[in-house]
Amino acid sequence: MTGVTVWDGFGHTVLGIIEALAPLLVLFIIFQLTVLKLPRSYILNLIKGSLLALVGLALFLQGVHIGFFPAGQAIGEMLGSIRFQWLLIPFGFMMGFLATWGEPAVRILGEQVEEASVGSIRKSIVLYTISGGVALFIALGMAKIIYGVPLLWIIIPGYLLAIGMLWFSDKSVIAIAFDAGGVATGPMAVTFLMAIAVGIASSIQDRDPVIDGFGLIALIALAPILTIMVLGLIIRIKTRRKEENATMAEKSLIVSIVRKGWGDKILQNSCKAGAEGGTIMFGRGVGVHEKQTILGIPIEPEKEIVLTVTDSEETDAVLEEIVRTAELGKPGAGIAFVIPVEKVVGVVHRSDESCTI
Amino acid sequence: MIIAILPLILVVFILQFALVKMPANLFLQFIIGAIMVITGMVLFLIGVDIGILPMGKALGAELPRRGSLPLITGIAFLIGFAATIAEPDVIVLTNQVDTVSGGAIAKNVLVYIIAIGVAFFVATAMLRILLGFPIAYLMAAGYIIIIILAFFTPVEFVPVAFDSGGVTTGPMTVPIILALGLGFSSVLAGKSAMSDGFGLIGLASIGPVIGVMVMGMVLS
Repeated sequence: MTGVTVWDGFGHTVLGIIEALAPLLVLFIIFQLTVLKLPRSYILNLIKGSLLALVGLALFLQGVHIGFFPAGQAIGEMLGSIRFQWLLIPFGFMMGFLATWGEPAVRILGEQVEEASVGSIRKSIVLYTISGGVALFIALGMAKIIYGVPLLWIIIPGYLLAIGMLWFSDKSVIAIAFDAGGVATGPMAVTFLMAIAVGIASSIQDRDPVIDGFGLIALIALAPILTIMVLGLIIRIKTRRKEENATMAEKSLIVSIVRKGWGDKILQNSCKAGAEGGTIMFGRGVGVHEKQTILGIPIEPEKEIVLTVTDSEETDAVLEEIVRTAELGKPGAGIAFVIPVEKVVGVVHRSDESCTI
Repeated sequence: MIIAILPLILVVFILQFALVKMPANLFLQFIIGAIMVITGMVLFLIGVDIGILPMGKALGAELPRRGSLPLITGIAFLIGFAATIAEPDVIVLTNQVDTVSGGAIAKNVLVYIIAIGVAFFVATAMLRILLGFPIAYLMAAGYIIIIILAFFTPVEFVPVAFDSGGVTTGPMTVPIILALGLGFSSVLAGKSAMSDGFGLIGLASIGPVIGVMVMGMVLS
C-alpha cells in the first residue's frame, strides 16, 4: 500500500471550498435580512442543504485530486504512446458518449426541458442527442491532439455554423441548445477527459500540453449546441408535416333541425351517404313559416336536432342527403347548417364496417 | 448517479487490465477517488437541491417585484459571480491549468476573470429578459466578438479561454442561474418560461471566453 495518499491536501481543498461558497451564502444572508425574510424552517433547510453541498463538494474535489486526475493523466500518457494513434479517435467517441450520458447536469436540463415543453421534447431525446454530439466532438478533439490541429480551425467553423443556424431555429430551441452546450461540460467530463487529453498531449512529441491539451471542453460545449439545433430543425419539419396532415383530415359538424319524427330517417340516410353516425336530440323552437296557435295561444312545435360529424370531403354529400330526406327545401320543414370542427376525439375510423341503424 | 458514472469506471477497469496497466497504488487511488467522487457528487447534488436551488428560486422570484432595473442587474451580476466561484468545474479547470502551465496562468486570477465574465453576461441576460431582446442577437454578437478576438489572442491562451467558457456551467451554476432566469421570467407577465428563462447558461459561457482572451492579451 505504499504511496496511496487519500487525504493529501484535504485541508487545502476544504479551505478552498469554504472560500468558494462563502460569497454565495453571504449574498443570500444579506437578501434574507433585507428583502426576502423567509420563514425560519425554510432557512433551516437551506442551511442543511448548503452544508451538505459543502461536504459533498469537498469529497468530490478530493476524489478528483487523488483519483481522477492522476489516473486520467496516466491513462492519457499511455494512450499517447501507443503505436496506432488513430485508435484514440474511436476511443474518444466512446468516452465522450459515456461521460456525457453520465453527466448529472445534462439530466437536469433534460428534465427541465421536458417540463417546460409540456412533454413535447422528451428528456431521453435530449440526453441522447447531447451525448451523441459530444462523442463526435471528442473524437474530433482526439484527432486535433494527435495531428496537432489548432483549436481555432475546428471551433471557428463550428461557431459560424451555430450562428448560421440561429436564423433558422425557433427561439426556444436556440435557448435550449446553448444551455445544453454549457450543461454538457460538467464535472465528469471536465475532470476525466481533460486529464486524459493533457496526458496524451504531454506524451506525444511536439505537442504542448497547454496548447494542445486544453480545448477539449470547448469542443464538448460546442457539440450539443449544433446537435440540439439540428434536432430542433428536424422536429420543426416533422410538426409542420403533421400540421399539413391535420388540415387534410379536417372535420365538420352538420347540425340539422327538423320536424319531430324525422331524425331517425336522417340518421339512416346520412349513414348511407358516408357519415359515421349521428346523435338525435329533442328540442322545441319555431320558425316564421310555422307559427301555430291553439285557442289564440302560440305553441312551439317539437323538433329533433341531428348532430353529424363528418370528414370535410364527405360533408357536401351528407348534407345533400339530409336536405333531400328532410325535405328542407320546403318552407317550415327545418334547417341544416355546417360548422367547422377544430378537434374530434373518440371517432374510430370505419374501414370495413358501416354504421347500422 | 452511480449508474451515471459506472460506464466510465468500467472503461478504466478494462483499460487497466487490457492496455494501460497503471501502478497498483495509482489504480487503488483511482478506485478510492471514484468512490469519493460518487459520494461527494451525490451529497453535493442533494445539498444543491434542498439548499442552494431554493435560494436561487427565491431570489429569482422576489427580485423583479422589488427592485429597479439597475438594482436587479447589479444583483444578477453578484449572484453570477458568487455561483461561478463556487462551481466545481471552474475549481477543477483552474487547478489543472495552473499545474500544467507551471503557474504561468495563475489559478486565482483565472477564477476571478471567469467569474466576472459569467457575472457580466448573466446581468446582460437578465436585461434581455426584462427588455424582451431576442436571444439570437446577443448570441450572435457574443460569438462574433469571440471569433474576432481569437485572432489576436496569444496561442497558449486560446484553448484555455474556450475551455473557461465551457466549465462555467456545472452543477452549481446551472441550477442557480436557471432557477434565477425561470423565476424572473415567470414573474414577468407575458413572457413564456420556455423561451426566456433558458438561454441564460448559453450566454453565461460567452463571458469567460472573452475575459480570458483579454487577459491573455494584457499579460503578453
